[in-house]
Amino acid sequence: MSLIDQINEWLLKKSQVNILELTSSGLRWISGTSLDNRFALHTLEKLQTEEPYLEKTDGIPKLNREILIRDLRKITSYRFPLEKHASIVLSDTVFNLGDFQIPAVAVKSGFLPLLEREIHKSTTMNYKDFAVRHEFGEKRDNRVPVHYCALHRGFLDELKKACNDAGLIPLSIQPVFTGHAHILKAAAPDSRHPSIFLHFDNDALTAGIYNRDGLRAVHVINSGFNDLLKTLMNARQCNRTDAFTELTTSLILLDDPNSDAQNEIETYRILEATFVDFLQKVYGFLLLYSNDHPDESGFVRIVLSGESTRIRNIEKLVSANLGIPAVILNSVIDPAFSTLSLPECETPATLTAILGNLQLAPWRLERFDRIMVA
Amino acid sequence: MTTAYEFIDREERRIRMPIYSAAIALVASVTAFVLLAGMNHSSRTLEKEYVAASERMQKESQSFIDRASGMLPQDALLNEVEQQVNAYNLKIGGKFSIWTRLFNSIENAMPEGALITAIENPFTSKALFTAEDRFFRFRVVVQNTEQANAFYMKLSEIHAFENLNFTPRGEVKIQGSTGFSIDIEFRFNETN
Repeated sequence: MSLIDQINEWLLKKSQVNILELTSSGLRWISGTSLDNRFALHTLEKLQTEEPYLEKTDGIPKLNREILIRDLRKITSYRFPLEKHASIVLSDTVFNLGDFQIPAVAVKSGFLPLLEREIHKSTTMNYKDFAVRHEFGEKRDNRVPVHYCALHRGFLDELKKACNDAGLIPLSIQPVFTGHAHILKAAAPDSRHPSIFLHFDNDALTAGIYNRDGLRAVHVINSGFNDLLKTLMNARQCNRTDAFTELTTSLILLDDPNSDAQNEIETYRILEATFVDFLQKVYGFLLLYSNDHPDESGFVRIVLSGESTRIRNIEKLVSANLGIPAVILNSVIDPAFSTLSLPECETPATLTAILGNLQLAPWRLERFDRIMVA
Repeated sequence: MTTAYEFIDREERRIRMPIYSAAIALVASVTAFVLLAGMNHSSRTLEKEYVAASERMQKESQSFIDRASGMLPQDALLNEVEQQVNAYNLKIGGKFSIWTRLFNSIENAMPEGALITAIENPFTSKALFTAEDRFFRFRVVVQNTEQANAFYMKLSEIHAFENLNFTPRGEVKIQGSTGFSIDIEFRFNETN
């Protein structure tokens, strides 16, 4: 190993990079390492907020700057002038996600006009207003799927500025689903049929279809665990904490959600409409996928993760309504995750995106040459 | 699914030096500058102190020399003492010592660089003399034969040396150099 490589390695080791998960209603700040599929978490801080950090108006995400900077400084224990490096895992709701198929020849001849058209379909804004990232899928029947992920440039700049004001140097900004898909890809069953993941987070439900080759499709439903909380808070006239306690500790869903006894549970009756809304949206996404990929319509299983996995038997509700076996992520992932020592309020399923990001370590990629420049 | 969905551009994705490192660099450079200035000032002060100390030492050593010179007896006094000693010696020798007269006479005649290697009684060939003995044999080494002749000539001019007998003995090595050995026998008449 050359001297420069050794210096690079030393710099990388010395440069502690923390992971910041930013959703509309919460922050997580984690520092840890992932080596040979073994995780070690040194810090795990969590902050919930009543006022959202992120809002989406007319399809454009906005940042609640002052509150975000205040809480970022609080969670990162900011002390001027000590800056910290962070890899940001950003809620999927602020991104415009989608996928479409193009003829294989278009991959080489130029598919950007097609990408522009797709983005224009889902938003009223100009293509140039977005930072767009895309990935090609596996070619089938002379057609290549393209997955894209767009983020409004104004929001991106605002986020960088807020990080700068909070003493953070962002080294990576990635959507939640990347880390999530990375973890699940490794645990995908060896089958020609894909599996489904439902990341039921605070502000969004990210539904994705994946197999061992990677992500096949991804879709974001802009309502999440917070909607369940709000519904319960409105019905019970209680605060968020009480609603959260009831939702996570009471038995709301029975082992057989289709039984008559299920409807006798009052909390379920309150939340039923919200559950049905989620399930219908997921069903719609699966139908669309099956139409586009008729040869892949059979799904192996549904893997659930995110905040909603705190609700007991939620996998049974999903399985009973969608007709596909459903499991919580904890049971399918590597034993290394299960042996993680986590605080009482966290499980691997609630930290999937962060653990995935820690394993991906995007701050290390393609950066060796630039450390010297820095 | 690695960097495909990365929204920080490649150029921005770098570990940069934190802001306080600039402050540290500034403080370090100021400290270094102050340190250098201090060292410079210190070296100048030390140099001045060294010059002052060397001047002081020079003055002190001069004063020591002066004091030591002052402590030495004066030349005139020394000469006077020497003359007095010589005078006393001559007085004592002149009255009571035939030997002083003998050696003074030989000294006047001996060439430069000549050595007296032996003094014997010519009758016993030993260096044993009584107070009344006036016959002497001197073995003298001169540098060459010319000196030997000159020495003989001078001795013969001095009337105190009676019955002068001069015997060349040949070349000898003495004190690392070659010389010419001669024996002179005479009767010393101190009254002449």
